[in-house]
Amino acid sequence: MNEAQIIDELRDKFGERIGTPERLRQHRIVVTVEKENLLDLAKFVKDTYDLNYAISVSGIDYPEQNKFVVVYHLCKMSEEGHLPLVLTLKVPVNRQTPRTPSLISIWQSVEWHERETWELFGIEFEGHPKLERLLLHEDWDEEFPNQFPLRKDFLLEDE
Amino acid sequence: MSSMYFSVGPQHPGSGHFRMKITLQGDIILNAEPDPGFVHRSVEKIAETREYLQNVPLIERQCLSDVSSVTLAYAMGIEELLGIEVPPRAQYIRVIMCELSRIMSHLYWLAILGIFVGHSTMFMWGFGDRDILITETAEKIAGARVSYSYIIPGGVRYDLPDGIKEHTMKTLDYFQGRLKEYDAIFFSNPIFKRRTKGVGVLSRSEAIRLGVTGPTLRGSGVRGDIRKDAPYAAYDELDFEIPVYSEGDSYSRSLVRFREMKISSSIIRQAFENLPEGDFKVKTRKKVPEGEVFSRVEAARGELACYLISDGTRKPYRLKMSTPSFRNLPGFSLMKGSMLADMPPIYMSLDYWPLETDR
Amino acid sequence: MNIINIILDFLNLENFISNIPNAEVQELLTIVFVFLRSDLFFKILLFPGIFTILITVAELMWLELKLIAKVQLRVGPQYAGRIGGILQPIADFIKLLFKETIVPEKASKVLFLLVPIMLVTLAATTLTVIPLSETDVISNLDVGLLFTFAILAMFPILALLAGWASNSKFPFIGGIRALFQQVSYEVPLWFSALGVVILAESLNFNSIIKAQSTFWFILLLPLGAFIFLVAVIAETERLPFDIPEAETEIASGWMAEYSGLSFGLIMLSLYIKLYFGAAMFTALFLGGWLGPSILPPAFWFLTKTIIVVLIIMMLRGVLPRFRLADLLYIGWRRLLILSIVNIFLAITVKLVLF
Repeated sequence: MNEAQIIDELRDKFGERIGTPERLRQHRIVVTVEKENLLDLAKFVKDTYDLNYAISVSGIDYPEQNKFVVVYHLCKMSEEGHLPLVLTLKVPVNRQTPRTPSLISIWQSVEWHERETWELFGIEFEGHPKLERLLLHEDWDEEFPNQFPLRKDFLLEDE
Repeated sequence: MSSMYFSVGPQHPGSGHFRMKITLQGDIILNAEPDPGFVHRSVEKIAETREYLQNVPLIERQCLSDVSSVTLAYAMGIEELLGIEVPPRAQYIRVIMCELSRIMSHLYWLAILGIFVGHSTMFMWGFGDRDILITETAEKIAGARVSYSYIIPGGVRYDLPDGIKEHTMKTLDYFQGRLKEYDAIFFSNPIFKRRTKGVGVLSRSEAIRLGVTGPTLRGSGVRGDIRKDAPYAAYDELDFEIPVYSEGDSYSRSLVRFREMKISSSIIRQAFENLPEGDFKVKTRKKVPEGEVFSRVEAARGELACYLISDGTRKPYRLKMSTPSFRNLPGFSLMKGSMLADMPPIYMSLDYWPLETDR
Repeated sequence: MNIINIILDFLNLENFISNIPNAEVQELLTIVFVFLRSDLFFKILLFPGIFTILITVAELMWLELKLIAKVQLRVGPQYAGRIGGILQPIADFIKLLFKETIVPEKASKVLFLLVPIMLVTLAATTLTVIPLSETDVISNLDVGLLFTFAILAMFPILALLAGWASNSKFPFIGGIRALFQQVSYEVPLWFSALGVVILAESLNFNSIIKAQSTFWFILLLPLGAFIFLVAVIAETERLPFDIPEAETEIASGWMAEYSGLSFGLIMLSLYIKLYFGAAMFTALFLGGWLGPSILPPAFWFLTKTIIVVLIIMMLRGVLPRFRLADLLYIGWRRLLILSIVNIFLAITVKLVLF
């Protein structure tokens, strides 16, 4: 499976519905997609390229552009091991109402990663069965109501 | 029949800094839910406030038994962004350190697995050999026993000291003999086999679906290892095999790690044999150009991915580490339906490290 | 003339008593002194009683520490008592003596504190019928073996009681496990001892030992001896059968809530029980105090017992722990059947040899 081929196919199939797929460097492809088209794209890449293995889910905060970006890193795992290709899905999310569909129905393995991102960024994953406290302590909400440690407006004491 | 709820940890001899919520019916575990977060220090947030080089000692503290791999993933990311080539000698030294780390981590795991099934001799032997042999070698190379911050962006901090090759070879020779003794006293032990064979079976498809990684994945018959699949450092120039067992139970996961120790020592030997002359590091800039990078390495517990976003300043804009222990969290569902006595072997066969999950 | 008499003579307390004006008190104290000067009191206090047992048990603990350390490539205790830390167990016990005994808030306080005392009492009671030589026995009961089994049957109840009185989850699971384990292994223990009884035609320990003057019973009944040893290991909760105490599963099991002196007493009772199990094995299968008459019989008895204890202790160095299900399987499906076979073997041996 060729990287250029994937880029072409994604562009043909989705056209305007996704941002231009971009080849960052060897084995790394980045696709930006709005949350409305996220599920379609995710289903497509999983069925077509058999990208069955979600490596990580991260959030990024861009306060100047008033958005979060949820980043999925996907990979193919077969009996013979990983495919070196990593497909990156970037989902911009509005900073005021941070909601995006959960991909747990497609990749079971994003469960804990999405839960962590929900906790540390406050991004709501619609359809996630269990968005509960994971890493922070239980009375975080009383101590820091509506604050999320990995957002840029949460400052450490020595900053 | 009524059920009983209790939490194993964080104050429990069989848990570490971590809690398992166990629901027990008779002697059968109905539900086991991991509850991490007791040692969360928000490393990713602190990393955003420090310079690139300052982050090396910070991030290696997330997994003290295996510090080389995580710093290597981070350093590889920065080198990729800077667009610099690391000299081959540094690549080989990195391989040596990573494999030493792997042996260190696996010995630590083996010792704890020993005490978890009640075998105190394995516990003492594992820790004793780890301290005397492996950490001493690491100290001779890098100047510290455990957290040596040796791998930095651009190469490694110091060159290898004189006579280290002979010392390491001698250590590894002794270690080979010890591995045979471990096999005799522990892995061939009928009671240990009885306690781990067929316990916590994870099928191949389920392993991929849950997204587990590392020896846990290879114990389920998937030949997934970044060292072979997407080679980094000098791994593509070295000859080694990946142990895979298809049973998917606690015993096969343990055997994978046990055989990896042997293979790691052979990799170290090869790296010393083929060690090229030359520089051990190159100069780097403090400001990293704008961009993003996703670097993957095979740490002792599995694939460790480092997602680094730079905005062109001296500090990272965002650093996300997808750690193997975190990805092995779904593996705790294996405890469902097994007996209470199977809890420690399953827990240990995942080689879970609470600090690595919490970061 | 024993050492207690010498001390009492030296103190010359009888003279002091005869000066007491009150006749009743005088009479009472005289009776007390007759008891103190009697042979029985010497046996209970010094030999083969409390003092001997405590010294033996303490040295057994030290030997365990040292030998296991050798297996595990460590040094073991070093400082207490100068010679290889020989006083380490005593130092440990003194340390426990000065620690606070914490009683959990919701525990049944009286029972909680009573259980360790009852355990030590019971463990010590069993030793009254074990003969160190033909005469060195506190009570030469005709039904000695029966008596020991009657006492042994109380231990699982006490373990369960300790787990229940702690009012805590892990101790409770541990108590249940102890109950399971000890009850299931008492049956094979009994049955394998029955083979010996068939051969010796007696329940008295001295008669059993004398019956072995030609052959030790371990030679006639090797199967029975093996079953007995396994069952003793299970009864004393030593590795690989330390399931009720499994540290990494249930955090020391039924003794998890105990601390300080009460914990020390529990440990003491477990070690006495271990000594007692080995002593039973020695008496039933290894010819008890029989041995070349160059050395006193008590020496042979203690030597054999200590060797058996060390064999049991050494298992800790090489074996991990069983699972409860496996343990029960072995107990009911293997050992029980074998021990019944052993009874038939014993009858055959009896018919052929005697």
